[in-house]
Amino acid sequence: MMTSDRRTQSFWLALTSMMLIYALFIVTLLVTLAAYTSPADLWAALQSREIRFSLFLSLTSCSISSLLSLLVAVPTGYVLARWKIPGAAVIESILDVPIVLPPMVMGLCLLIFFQTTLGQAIDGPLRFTYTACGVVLAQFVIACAFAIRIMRGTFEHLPTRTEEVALTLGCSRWGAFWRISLPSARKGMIAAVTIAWARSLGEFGPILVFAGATRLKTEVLPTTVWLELSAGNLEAAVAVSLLLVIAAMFVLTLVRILGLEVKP
Amino acid sequence: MKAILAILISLIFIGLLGLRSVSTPADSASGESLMVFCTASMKQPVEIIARQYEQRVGVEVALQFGGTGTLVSQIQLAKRGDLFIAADQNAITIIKKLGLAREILPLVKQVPVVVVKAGNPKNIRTLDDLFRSDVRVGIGNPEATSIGKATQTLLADRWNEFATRLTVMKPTVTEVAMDVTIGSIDAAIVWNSTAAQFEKLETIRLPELDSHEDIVNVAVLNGSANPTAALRFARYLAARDQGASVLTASGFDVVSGENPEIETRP
Repeated sequence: MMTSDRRTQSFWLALTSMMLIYALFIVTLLVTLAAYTSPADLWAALQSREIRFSLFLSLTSCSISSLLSLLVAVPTGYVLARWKIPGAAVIESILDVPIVLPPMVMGLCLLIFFQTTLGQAIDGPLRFTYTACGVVLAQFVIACAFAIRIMRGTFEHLPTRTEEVALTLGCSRWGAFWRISLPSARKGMIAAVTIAWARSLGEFGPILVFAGATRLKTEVLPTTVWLELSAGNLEAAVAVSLLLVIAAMFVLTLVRILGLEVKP
Repeated sequence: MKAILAILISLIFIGLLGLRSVSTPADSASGESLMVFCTASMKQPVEIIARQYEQRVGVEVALQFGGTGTLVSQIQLAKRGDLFIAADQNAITIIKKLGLAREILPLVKQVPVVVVKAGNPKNIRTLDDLFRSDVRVGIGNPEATSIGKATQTLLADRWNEFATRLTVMKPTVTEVAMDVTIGSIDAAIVWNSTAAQFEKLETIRLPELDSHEDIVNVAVLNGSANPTAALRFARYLAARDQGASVLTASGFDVVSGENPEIETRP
């Protein structure tokens, strides 16, 4: 019995140390980054109107784009997982394109599309090119592809039996989806929202090309970092990066804690 | 799940409230506004000048920053915007050829220089020092940056040897200067105007590089909805007592224009 206990111990020890080493690696990177700045720089960054703007625009745009992503990813993921439509493989590859393409190319696609007749017709009333709406759209296009992957995986691993039972008990198709499938996909939905949000927060290439880097208009946190780097202002760039990390850790931890809380 | 929705929706509200609090209250002085595509390397002085201009003239100036090459593509695609401040002559040649530019005014002169860490720890004095095996050198890609192209031309038959010895090429000139600051390379060839933005770097002028002069220009774009207002701001940027004095203060070598009459707001 002793040996098996010890084996279990060494098993957990090995796996946990792998996790800790990796976490420590990331923490080390962040600490060396922080060494390039000071609390005064961070404070100065928060004092700047442009940087506060980009912080707020980041929070707003990421939250909107992750909600939109979830809205599209849940039905799409469900269909891909449950309904074997002909040509599904092709459709799936198409849905993966935003993951495969370099993000900057995605921005270029958007910019070019909105100059076509169809694009102009949409851009007329809604105004995406070089606007904050463009920021959300650029984030959404990429974040959604990741959310779809997660939702597809989630629904694939859910047993179909419970839904079938609900159907035989007189539940409608909509009802079974709403009352059975969705609640059991809760963890997957939280994962999808988290990934979409995090991905959107770090998104940069497509935003730069499609929405531009206009101060107090389309500037988000990664844009600020890039602008400060371009102007040779390393301290400010690092300060804003830390701000980004703090915002991300705060929101994502909150989402994980509240989202995965076991309900009584 | 409801908790998540609540978090996201409250984040949207917090964000929107924050945005409202920092956004400019609509300046209805004239309702005029200009959109300026500006090379990221000129960000600091141009922001100051734009703000001054907004206050004095009452015309809103929206600045859109980017690498010069990227901005050229954007101007070409979107056909929007009033002015373009380009980091090099080559970009101006391109947009002129495309028929996208009207008037062009020179702003700043620049020559290639070598930047090293303060104190010059690797003791770099001559061009030959850049070929030493213990010196890590970086430059901008000749395809993407004017400084890379200029270096290639200036080094002529030594270029091939130089290119094989290089430690790194980066797509923008500021990135290589940044790498010297961080310490991942020992020396970089950059514009003297770039070097001026980095307080912690030391500039070394080399006779082999001094002969090449490039100009930062501002161009009035053909797509401008208000070319007169655009030209007025372009003149302001170049004027000796106005924009140019800010540029000089930021360490740029100015090609100053005459002082135009500007209508300041009452």
